[in-house]
Amino acid sequence: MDELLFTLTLIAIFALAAVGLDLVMGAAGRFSVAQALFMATGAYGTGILYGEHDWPLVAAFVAAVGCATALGIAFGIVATRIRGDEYLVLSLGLQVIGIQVLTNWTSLSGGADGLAGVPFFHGQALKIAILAAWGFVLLSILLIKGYLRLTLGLSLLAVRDDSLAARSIGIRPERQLILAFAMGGALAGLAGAFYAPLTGYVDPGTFTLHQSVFVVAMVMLGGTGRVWGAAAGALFLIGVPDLIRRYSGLSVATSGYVEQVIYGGAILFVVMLLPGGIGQLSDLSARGVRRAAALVADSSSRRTAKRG
Amino acid sequence: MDIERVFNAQFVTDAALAGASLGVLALGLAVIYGVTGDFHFAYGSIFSVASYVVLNTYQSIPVALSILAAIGAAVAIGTLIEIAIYEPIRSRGGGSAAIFLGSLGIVTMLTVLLRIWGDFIYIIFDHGLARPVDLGSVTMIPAAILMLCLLIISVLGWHVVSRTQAGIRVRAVASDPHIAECFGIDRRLTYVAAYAVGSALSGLAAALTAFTTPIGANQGANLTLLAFVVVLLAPKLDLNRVAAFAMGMGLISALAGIYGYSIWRDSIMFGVLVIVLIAQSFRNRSILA
Repeated sequence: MDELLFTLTLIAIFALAAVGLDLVMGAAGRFSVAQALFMATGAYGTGILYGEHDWPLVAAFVAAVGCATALGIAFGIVATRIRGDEYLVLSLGLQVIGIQVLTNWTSLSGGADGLAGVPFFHGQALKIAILAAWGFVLLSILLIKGYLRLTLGLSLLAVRDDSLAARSIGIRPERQLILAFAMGGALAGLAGAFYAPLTGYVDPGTFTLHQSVFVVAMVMLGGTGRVWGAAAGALFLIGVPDLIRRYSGLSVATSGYVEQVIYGGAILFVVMLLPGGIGQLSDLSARGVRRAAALVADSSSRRTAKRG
Repeated sequence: MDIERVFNAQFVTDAALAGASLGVLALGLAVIYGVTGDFHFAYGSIFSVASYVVLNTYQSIPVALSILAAIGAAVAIGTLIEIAIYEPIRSRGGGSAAIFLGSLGIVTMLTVLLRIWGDFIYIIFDHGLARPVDLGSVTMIPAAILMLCLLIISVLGWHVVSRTQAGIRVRAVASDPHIAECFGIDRRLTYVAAYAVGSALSGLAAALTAFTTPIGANQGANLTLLAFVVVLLAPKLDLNRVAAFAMGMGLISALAGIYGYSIWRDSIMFGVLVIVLIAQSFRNRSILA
């Protein structure tokens, strides 16, 4: 039972990080491969403050998310000055540097061995954690959806589509981008903050470039810019391999390979055949339903005309 | 540590050979990135496949054939990826982000295949190309010397080719593929050729690296990250600078090793890239302005 709760919480954690990245990639139009670094900031912040300095959990969460938000603001400031492709490369560089700093700064992070002994959620606390994590996922989706309908969010979309035109009507592109990056960083930091007490252990190997790419794949699988799609991507990329591991009867090594094949295959499927991600399927089905309804209405009106 | 002791002939040789190894890998990537603009991250997996081919064949067939097999495998996979995956992504309107993500999907798949093939670190000791030789006061590995020669030949070769009609066509496609197509240049064929040449260089680099460095399923991806740094620092298709930057990175890497900072090697190299990108952005002022 605890194992299932663990997986559900893990899905919520990655959904939070993916929703944050979707804001940066979908609404702000910046392709980033550094989301795991923000998660690491949240996880190490909680691990150090809650695990080593005995801060209350909520205070440690707030401080860790604050650090990740500050990092997001720093990334946002850089993003205002750098083009899309260059930002991708920059985020790659900062991700590699950040994780190497965590690996080699042993006195702060415990080095490659990581931080062990973070008090972890179990029993009732795990049940509360899963509710809280999913609550935050729903809240973040609703807030971002709402934000993107407000003038502030629409300004961000305008900056993404044409920053010069946006500036000409009085929008400050820098502010919009920095705000989006701060929110994206905060959500990833919150995801990391949940991760530390969920596993009771934080190490740099968990937050490598591979993990960042994993979050990017969730966003693209769900459909960039759809917000809820990022959470659906997390559900698919963590849930499906977990089901295979649990019910297929395969060995650990084989199910690991299968997991990787699903992951790689899903990425290729999306970029080659379904550029709008899972969300595109819902568009297609909605379009299909509308077309079918139109056909039915058309044929019934013809029948009525014939009778008349 | 005094400068004379650090900058001795052996140090300079080691730095040059390390730079050459990165340089050949970066040249192949520079050709692909320069012509197509693709972030072809699967380049690293092609490198790994080619090195696995050498490691598994060099004892049963002549080494020259083994190296040719590695190059053939690299070219076949590289062109197949371009034709079967990247071109369909482009034709559906996918940009560089979609190609980058697609290449990561390929990396995942190829890494699984390599792990099934044998997920451990190999190194070749028992071959002439891997045995150190003394030349005066310095010791070198023959495979590394070949790599340096290959780097020089590749740069000179590009100088010659870039001035021929074919080279000018390649540069035209790199500059503006749509306009080039309007003038009757086959853009798709040029892209396939770029992938073939780049992958051949990757295969050759992989084959020679197998004689100098331990090789594993992820080795290619790690080296490719560093090669990307070198490629992105230089202007597109400026192979002279790619080679020069690779040699510079080799020097930085060797210095980091001597002063005990080898654990920071990747950070130093990526730090250089980050500083250059940020400095360029300040020189060009805000892109949003």
